[in-house]
Amino acid sequence: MASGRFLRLRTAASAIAVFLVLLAASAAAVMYAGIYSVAATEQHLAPTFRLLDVGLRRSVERHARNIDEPLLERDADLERGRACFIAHCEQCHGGPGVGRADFAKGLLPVPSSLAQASADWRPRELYWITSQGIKMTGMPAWEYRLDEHALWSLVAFLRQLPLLTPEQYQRERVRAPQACERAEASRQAFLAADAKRGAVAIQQYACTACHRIPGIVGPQSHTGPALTAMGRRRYIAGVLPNTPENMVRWLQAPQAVNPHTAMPDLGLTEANSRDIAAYLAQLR
Amino acid sequence: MRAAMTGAIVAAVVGCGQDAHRGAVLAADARAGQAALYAYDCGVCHRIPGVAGAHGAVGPSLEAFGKRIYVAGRLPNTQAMLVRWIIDPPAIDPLTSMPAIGVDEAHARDMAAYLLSLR
Repeated sequence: MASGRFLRLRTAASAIAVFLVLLAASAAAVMYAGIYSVAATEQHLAPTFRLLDVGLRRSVERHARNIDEPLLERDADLERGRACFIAHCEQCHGGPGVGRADFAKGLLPVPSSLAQASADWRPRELYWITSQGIKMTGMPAWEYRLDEHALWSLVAFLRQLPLLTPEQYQRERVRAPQACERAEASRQAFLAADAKRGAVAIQQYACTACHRIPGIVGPQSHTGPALTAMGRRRYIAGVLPNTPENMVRWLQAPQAVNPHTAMPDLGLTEANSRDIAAYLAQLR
Repeated sequence: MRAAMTGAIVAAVVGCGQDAHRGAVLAADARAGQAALYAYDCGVCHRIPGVAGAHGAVGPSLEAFGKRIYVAGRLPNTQAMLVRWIIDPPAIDPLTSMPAIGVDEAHARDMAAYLLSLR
């Protein structure tokens, strides 16, 4: 009796296992054969869209749940938030009475209307989305571009946005805009260089778009040299002796070291450069 | 255009598709290039697949060099550019630590042909 039930269970388990393997194999086959279209002109199926949307919402809620919100009325600067919005958000998301830029119209998923953002999300969630970005949506992480105060100021402005008439918004746009960026010392400036943070910064400054870097997942690019064993390399860019100081110098201003280099200045902060240099130095 | 071709024998245009941007190919022998890379001790500074003892870490690894878009971070990686670079790097980039080691043009062409064959 007992052994009969065990046998049935085992048969059922193997059937499920076979089914799962077949499912994975056919999914892989569809991908590999190129049947699935990656075109941005083809919207997801409605159930797929719903699934991704729910996953996104749940993920943001969970990851943002322990963030302490500052008192926005006191600590945030609406003017600065508006300046950041106009400088960095409006291009993709549009604003009241202002359409989005051409490159943002053809994005899939379509960037959300931010007039609705504060109805859809809590302040800490807006902060988290802006700071961390959202994978595979085109929403970048602003953590490496904007400081804490700018991020919360943006959140404060997003809460004001639905209260602005298109006329008011237009007026605020043309008023002499306050700068979003501020030449403040980076909040990481006092920290010792850290290879782990460097690994994140490497992705956040798009290094893998041109370099293959051991330990960092990215496209197999051959635009620049692979950084394999960079810690053992004698020279940086064939020009500078490979010391941590020189690496920081090179990363921050490649064209100041060699005016003809194809490597662009990516606007790295000194703290980020030192972290990246620490990561590269331990590649052996 | 014609001036750029002077002295160069157009032997073939390899692999249309992906390599189209590499342009015309100078007459060269990749096998001989492999031997020349060994003979000129390029491996003291560079890691070069297929060249004995070429494990240098002074300059960058030359693995998959045929896929590389730039030479020395600045020149388009065509055979003609690579030949110029191998013969006299400081003439192209006065800051470079790569020395001109007296490679003649025929050898440079062969070396370039070998390096560009690395995928």
